[in-house]
Amino acid sequence: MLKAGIFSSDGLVSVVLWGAFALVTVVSLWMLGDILLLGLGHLSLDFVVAEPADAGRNGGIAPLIVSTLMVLAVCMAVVIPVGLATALAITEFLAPRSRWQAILLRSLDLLSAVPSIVFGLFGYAFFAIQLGLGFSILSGGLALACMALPLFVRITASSLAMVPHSYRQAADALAISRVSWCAHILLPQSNSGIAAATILSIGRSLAETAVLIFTAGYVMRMPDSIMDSGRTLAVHIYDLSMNVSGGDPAAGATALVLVVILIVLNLITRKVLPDRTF
Amino acid sequence: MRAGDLLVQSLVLFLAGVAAAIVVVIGVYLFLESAPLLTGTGMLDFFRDQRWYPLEGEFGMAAMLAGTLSVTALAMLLAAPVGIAAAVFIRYYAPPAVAIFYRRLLELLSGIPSVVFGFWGLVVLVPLIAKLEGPGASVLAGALVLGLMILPLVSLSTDSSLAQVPRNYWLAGTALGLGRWAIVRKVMIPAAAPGILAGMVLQTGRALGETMALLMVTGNVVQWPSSVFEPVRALTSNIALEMAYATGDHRTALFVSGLILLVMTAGMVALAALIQRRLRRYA
Amino acid sequence: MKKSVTDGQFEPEKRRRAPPGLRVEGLTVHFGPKTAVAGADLVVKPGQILAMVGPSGCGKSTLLASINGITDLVPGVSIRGQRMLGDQSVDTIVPGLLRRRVGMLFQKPNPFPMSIIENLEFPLREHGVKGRGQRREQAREALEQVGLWGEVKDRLKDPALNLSGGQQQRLCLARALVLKPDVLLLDEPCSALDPIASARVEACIESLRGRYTIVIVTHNLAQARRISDEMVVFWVENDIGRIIEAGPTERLFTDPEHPTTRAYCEGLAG
Repeated sequence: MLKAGIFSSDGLVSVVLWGAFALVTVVSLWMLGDILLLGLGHLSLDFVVAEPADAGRNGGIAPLIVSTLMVLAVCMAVVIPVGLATALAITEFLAPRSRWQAILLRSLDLLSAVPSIVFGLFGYAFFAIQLGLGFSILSGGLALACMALPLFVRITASSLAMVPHSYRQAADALAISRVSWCAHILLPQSNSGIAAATILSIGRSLAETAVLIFTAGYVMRMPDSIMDSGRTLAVHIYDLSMNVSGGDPAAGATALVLVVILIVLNLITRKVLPDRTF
Repeated sequence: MRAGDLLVQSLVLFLAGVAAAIVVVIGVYLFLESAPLLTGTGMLDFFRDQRWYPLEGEFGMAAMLAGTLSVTALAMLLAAPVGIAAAVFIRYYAPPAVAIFYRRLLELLSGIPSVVFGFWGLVVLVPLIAKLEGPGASVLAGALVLGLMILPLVSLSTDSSLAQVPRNYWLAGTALGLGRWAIVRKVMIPAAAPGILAGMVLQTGRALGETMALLMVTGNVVQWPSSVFEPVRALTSNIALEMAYATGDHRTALFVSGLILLVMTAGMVALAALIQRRLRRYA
Repeated sequence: MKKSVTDGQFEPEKRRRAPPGLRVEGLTVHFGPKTAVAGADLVVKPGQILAMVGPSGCGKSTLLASINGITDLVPGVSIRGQRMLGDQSVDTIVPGLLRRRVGMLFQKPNPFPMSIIENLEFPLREHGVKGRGQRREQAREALEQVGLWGEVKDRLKDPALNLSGGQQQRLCLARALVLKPDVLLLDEPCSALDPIASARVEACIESLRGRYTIVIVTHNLAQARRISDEMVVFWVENDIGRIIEAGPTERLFTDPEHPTTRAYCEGLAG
């Protein structure tokens, strides 16, 4: 007699699941390993501090690192204040389950769904052309800020919501003003959440490419100011591998640098906010 | 004290309003820039016509839509089962050390930029596929890379959906004498189904909007995909390739394709929210 | 009245005027469709301690928190009836001033996540007490009033959350006293504490009689009998909280009018 439900037997399922695990692990490690190998050969201390030469095939990525940092700075300079205000609005200043709060939350959800290339189109049409900022780090940073905002708000708002209700009760009973409540208790208590939101937003922004191609531009040299065009690390990887023959080793090295930075950021987040996964 | 409160409140609500307005401005902008070509009768042509010869005024996007959809569908087909299996594995089958390692690996993967996936695809996968058949840059290459990109996200979202199923369900299953897989299959997964499904829909939306990786490995030829080994051009890649030099109607057509993409991804988000609301069977 | 065992001095605070009485008439509170309390009347004479007793969910805390306007803050709440603080209606007093005159202590100790001394100086700053010296002096007075000064004077900058449960609750009482209120509202202040800490807090409260008008919600009938002058008994009827009897504490325990009161106070019901 056939054993009933043989395909439900735990043994077979276990094998399949372990097999899937092995597949994913092998492919992931294969990819990461390849990046390591492709990049390591070209990597050196010089690479990080020198200027690019020969369309990037040789030399280093110093101006790109500077451009990347500048774009990030512009981006976070907008995301942090606007994001904090938005998160505060959601948790403190708008009545819970009210129409306004719902509208705000829905619009942030939609914003997080917008494809990056559409942000590129919008950034180009609006920041570069309409506002006349041209291909610049400023354009790129602003467009990137629009992209990073929903993520920052989501993490910050959930961090603010976790501040114990008992503090609020005590503050209400003492007629503590809203501003003092936010400044002296709410925000300080959510420190680590806000830090995590910042780091994760930076990580997401570092990975962006499509948006920046149409806003910050392609220029490889060291930028003079935020009105200058600049190329970020991610864009550099794209250009080297697609448009520059023989650019693969340099692209690999740049990819390696980028991945290492992201791993470090990930580890820092884990330290700052150990019991959350995003 | 009162005045200070009022000032801060106004500032906070103003900035929040700006944040809420961004998506509206994007929508309006896209619409305005697409307007010249958005005549009632002409709309269907975008979807029907396969001929994309922008310099001659032919703006048929059907082939590129097919390219986008085929790559996305194949990627989902590959990533969803493996991703869900990974989550089930981490939650119910893996020894603790393995579970921690696997989760970390998936979190790491989820943070890797799409250019890096694209780079690897270009340098390693494409030549590999070329050995099998065709030029290498193909629907298959795109689907594999895209699948690898969305797999960790499907996995992590399934994991968090499973985590929300009340523990009592598992205990109830054990008390009825069910084996581990039976409980997972008949109790836990069905209970988490709305969340899992919603997660998949969201990731499909993400995949539809992916640009860089596909730009690098799909070959960028505007044609209807007749086999997985043929190169195609995704709608997203098209914008990235041609935006720099497009003018006039050509540029407008690109905005139209951007609008189509926005509608598709927004639709996915709405669908995911709907699934969560309607299919929720437990509190 | 029996005195409880304590240590530490409770410094009498110099009072300039007598505390006001409280009067509530016909108070009805709805949270959306649900009625928490209906038709509640109570009177607290100046300087007296009134205990509100009854099983959980009768609306005691809701009524208590309506006296300092906290219940008014709940979204979707509707409050009808009169609430008089002395001869002023609570609705007519600005919230900042109201909560300076009426202090509150909660069931679970909730000191702010700051240092011990900062917990007291922060509200003082908020209410416009200028001068660090002045604030420090008032904070010290409050700490002496609850018998904590001796215990914490060498570690004022330590985090308040490092204190034991009983110490935290006394700190919260000091925080309620530091603004020099006339009225104190205590919502089951001892129920989260161990017996020794509970006895200490209870002794603090007793020492405040006469200088403050006090309303205390408590599940502990023995405590109510020990420290309160008058008592009000709550009960749930048809899912609505109501006051079923009120009067001097001793009479309610020895000769109650309402049969439910008799049953509750004898421990047979609720």
